[in-house]
Amino acid sequence: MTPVRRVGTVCAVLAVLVAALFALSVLVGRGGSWLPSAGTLNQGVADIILYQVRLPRALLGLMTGAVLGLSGAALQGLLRNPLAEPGLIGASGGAALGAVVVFYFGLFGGAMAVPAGGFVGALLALLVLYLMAGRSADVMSLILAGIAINAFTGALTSLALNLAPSPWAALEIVFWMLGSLADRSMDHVAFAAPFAVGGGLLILTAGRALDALSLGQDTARSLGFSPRATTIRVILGTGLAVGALVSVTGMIGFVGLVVPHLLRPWVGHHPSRLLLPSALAGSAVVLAADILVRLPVRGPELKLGVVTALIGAPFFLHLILKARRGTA
Amino acid sequence: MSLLRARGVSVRFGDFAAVSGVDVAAGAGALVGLIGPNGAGKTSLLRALAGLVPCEGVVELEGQPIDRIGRRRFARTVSYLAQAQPVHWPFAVRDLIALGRLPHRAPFQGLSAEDHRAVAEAMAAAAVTDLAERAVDTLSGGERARVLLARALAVQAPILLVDEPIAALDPYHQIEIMELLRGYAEAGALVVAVLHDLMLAERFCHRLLLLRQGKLLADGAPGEVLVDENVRAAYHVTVIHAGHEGRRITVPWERVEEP
Repeated sequence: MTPVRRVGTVCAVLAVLVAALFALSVLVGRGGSWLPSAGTLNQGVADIILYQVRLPRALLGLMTGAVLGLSGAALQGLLRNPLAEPGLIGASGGAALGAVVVFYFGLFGGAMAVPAGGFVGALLALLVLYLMAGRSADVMSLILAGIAINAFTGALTSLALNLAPSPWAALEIVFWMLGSLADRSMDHVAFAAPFAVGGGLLILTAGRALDALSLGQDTARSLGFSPRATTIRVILGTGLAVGALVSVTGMIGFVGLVVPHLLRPWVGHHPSRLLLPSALAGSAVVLAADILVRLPVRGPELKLGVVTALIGAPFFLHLILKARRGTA
Repeated sequence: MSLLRARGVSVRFGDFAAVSGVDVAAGAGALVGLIGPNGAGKTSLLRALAGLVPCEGVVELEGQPIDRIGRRRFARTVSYLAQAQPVHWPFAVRDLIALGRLPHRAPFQGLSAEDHRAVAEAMAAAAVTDLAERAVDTLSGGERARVLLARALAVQAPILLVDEPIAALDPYHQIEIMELLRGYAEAGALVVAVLHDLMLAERFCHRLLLLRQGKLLADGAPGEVLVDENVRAAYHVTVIHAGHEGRRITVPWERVEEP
């Protein structure tokens, strides 16, 4: 089978899986209950559950997973580093800080105040990244600038927790940061969708250039690609898409890191061949994890970010051990 | 008209001039060796010719300044193989070589029949067809060097610029790659290669450019360039000349104290 056909087959299988998980996400509720049929509930109530509770949640799961998977694969290609993940460039840290500031100071009213604050935080983080590293396409500058931004936004977030006016406020901030798709509305979907789609398209158009960058910056340029333009495209695409979604969902870790590793045995190492499958697999992972968190009947609902980290971290360890055995 | 021409090219890194006012022109059908001691500016000049480093002066491709040539057209015309070329992912050899076809492919278009043919020809020329399915991180140094050269050949560019293509190779593979470069040039291309091995440069190159401290010290046929005076001035070594099968061989012999 040719590599292109293999990627097509993987994408087709993943698309079917995503469609099935999306349907399940709409149909399955708390404790594994199914969507009530019209006969058992007032039609209006059933419609509210479907359109205002389940559908936004499934759509956000679809978008969040796609953006995390896609940007993880793109950043690993851009930075030529298998440990890169969307949080590395600081946009998620900035988004978290922006959202926490809104929580803390209660700056705006309305349900969209937190996402708006988060997105402003993500944009500010991107601006700082550009000022620190954006003039060159140097990988090390980008990574170091990302680390510095993450450290600083993390410190300010901790400061907000430290000075929180009440334990309840601190708890609210911590719970938000754990990441969840619960209790989000179509307004949240409408807020994040343009940035997710726009950022995603920006990243998808960089596939060939990322392949060329696998041979270093000089060779990429000699093959007709601008490393700087590619860097700006991937970073801006990731920052906008991840920033907007983290602002809505909170932090959801490990998806962007693990998904590309999961796919390399199937589609190979070309960054361009990993992009679309990673977006689909990311969606599948987040939708599946979000179904999992609502299955327990008793106790508080698990946070999505907790579950992705709980599953993702040991799985990543397994991949590392497998790779080490392969090279031993 | 020359295929590739540098006019008054200087490359500066801050106050340091790696290349100073080099004028050189070259046409198709020649293997040109770019020689000189470490730090003479060979890589900087080659990168300037490849449009990879900002420079003063003008580099022209068929009489046209390269900064006025579209990026894709230039990429199809000038193929460049970097010194110690990194490969960041363990691609299969065939996939790695196919990256050389990127300048020829439209966005989101797969490899065409012509691309497949170019990849097969490059693999055959570099004698790596048997390695096609191997992961690049499992290759020996010699195999890797040939595969990377095949990637540069797959562009099928009329100009090939290669930086130290035989460094760290054993004599068998050094001769193999020099034969390949000379064959590519004699098939109608211009090949410029940065080289350190004076004996191989003399034997295989049609023309040598000797750089010293960023300036062109000598330019001509190997026999004219590799004379004792030039080698002593550039490398601070003496040379002895021997002969074999009617051809001259120049061997670096003794260090001389720097003036």
